Amino acid sequence: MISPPATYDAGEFAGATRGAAHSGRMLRWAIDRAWRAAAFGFLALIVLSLVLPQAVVILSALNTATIVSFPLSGVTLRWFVRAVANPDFAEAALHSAVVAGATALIAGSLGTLIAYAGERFAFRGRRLLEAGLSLPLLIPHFTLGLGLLITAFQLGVARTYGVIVAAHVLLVLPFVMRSVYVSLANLDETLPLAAATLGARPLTIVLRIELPLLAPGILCGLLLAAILSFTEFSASLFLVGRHTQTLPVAMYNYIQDFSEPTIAAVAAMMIVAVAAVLACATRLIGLKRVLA
Amino acid sequence: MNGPAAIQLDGLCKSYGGAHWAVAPTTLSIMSGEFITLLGPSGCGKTTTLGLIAGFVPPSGGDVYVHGEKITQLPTFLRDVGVVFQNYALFPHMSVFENVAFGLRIRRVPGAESRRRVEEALAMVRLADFGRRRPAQLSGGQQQRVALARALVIRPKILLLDEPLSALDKNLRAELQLEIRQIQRTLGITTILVTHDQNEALSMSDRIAVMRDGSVQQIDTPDDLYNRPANPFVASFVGEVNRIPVTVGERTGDGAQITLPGGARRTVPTPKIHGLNGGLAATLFVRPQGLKAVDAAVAELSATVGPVVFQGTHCEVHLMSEHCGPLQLRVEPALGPSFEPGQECHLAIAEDAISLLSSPSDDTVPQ
Repeated sequence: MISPPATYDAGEFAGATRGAAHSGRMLRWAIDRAWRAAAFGFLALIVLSLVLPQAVVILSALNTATIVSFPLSGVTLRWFVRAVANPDFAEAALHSAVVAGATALIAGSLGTLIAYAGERFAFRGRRLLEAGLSLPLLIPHFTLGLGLLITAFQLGVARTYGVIVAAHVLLVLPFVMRSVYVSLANLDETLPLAAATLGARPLTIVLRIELPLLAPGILCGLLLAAILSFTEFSASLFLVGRHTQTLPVAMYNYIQDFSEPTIAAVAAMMIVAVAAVLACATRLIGLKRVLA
Repeated sequence: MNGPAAIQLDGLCKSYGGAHWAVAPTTLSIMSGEFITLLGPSGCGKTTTLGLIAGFVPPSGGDVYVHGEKITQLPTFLRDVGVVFQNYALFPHMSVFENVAFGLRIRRVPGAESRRRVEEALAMVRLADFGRRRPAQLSGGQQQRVALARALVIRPKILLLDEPLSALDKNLRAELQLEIRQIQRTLGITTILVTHDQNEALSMSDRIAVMRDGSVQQIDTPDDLYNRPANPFVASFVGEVNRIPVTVGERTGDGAQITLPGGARRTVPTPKIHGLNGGLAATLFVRPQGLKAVDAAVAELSATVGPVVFQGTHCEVHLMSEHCGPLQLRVEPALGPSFEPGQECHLAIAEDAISLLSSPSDDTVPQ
């Protein structure tokens, strides 16, 4: 039993008033506790609903049963072995990695450039450009995929890596730009002035002062771009060909034909890979922040 | 010392469009080795003036000369000006040593010489052992000393200080004022300080330019500025001052008769009269130490004693006068207790204590 904190105790009150005041305070204290408990429970529920599906996927990948099911009837690693041995998945994973890498590099540099230019030079149409580049946040990915598919056919480049990367770049650009904007907003604007008084030319200021200080934000944007690209499905579905299949699309195709836990094993490996990359990044960027 | 001034502003001005000047056309000569302060309330154009000299802000007109060379069109990185900023502006991703060495590396000063000069500069600001620290690991005062070392190590032609001490607490500020002044004297570097703090301006400067609404009101030594202010704004902005409404009477040989609110008369010497004519209402400006408590027989003014504030070196006696409004008197600390709140007090203006006599048509006075 938790007793009410001392501040609620009305020790100075005497007689009948004391009893009434005291019970009133008790009630308020109890309501306060109940609210806190409810808020905490709600938060826990949200976190749980985020974590639970992933835990279930990982656990069912370890299940001995031949269909994706829960709870476990026994533990085995054979679905992982099958997943790794499957050449379709291996190839798709490689494609995804290449696409994610290319997307991160292109979207990272493009996003940094646009965000920097937008912040430093108030050029005409800057707001319009930013609004346009934020559109992928609002429109369904498959709309973009479909649109690009039609365009790519017209241009005769359908089913190529280039189109997939282009789609992913468009989709992740707003995230990269936001990440860089945050870093830019935190960049003290007197630093470039100070560097100039010490004789640094504009390019030197960018390379020696601004880029190093923006690095955490840019790196963060790059990682976000890579992860979003690696897990992107609905736009990619329209754009990949048999020889440019990305991992999420390959998983989707597999699940159409088979229902055994190999797919859960692939998903589990994907979850772990993304989590590992994120953990490394947090450590790296976190350390940078401390040093700066 | 003749020859060109170290810094010459020639009609330098800045306008952001619209009716008023950010900096009205300003002409100003600063001698080599001089320490000049631009003093004024926020928004008076002092920081913009500094930005024009450093090249941060393109001027709307006029020119800047440094040692006779016109630098108006030069970009900042070619101007050879050392600048210390209010927020220190140290590069957070570099060590203290790297911060100070930055300007030397840009200038491709060879390693050994660069190292020696950085160490000298850090020793000059008493931070010889702090080279390996990050700026974030230093106190505000230490960071500002690093910024000073960084600005001076490149041996700039001029040094610009933009409110360098306003982020620091009072004791540290006083200490750094002395330190900066000493370093400036030793190096003999021409320096412009921007501040809104009148005490800082009075204690550090060879000359002070008081600015208001983009234009210089008066440029003079601290002593002249305090004792012979050019207008009501300067009189009120630099130091405490009592304002006493008077009537100007007839001109005599060496001045003019004025009538104080209680009916007392006195003569004000000619230099203070300016163009004031007889019969006109005017305001007399007197410093707190220029008022004296006297016997009723020789009193010129009377007022009721209010709060008495002990300030260590002196006591401030606040009074309320029926005719003049609030007045302030400065007395020796030992005399403080002899003023009892509520008591009637008789006052006289000391000889030579009149700072300024101004007509109401002069600039309005900020409160």
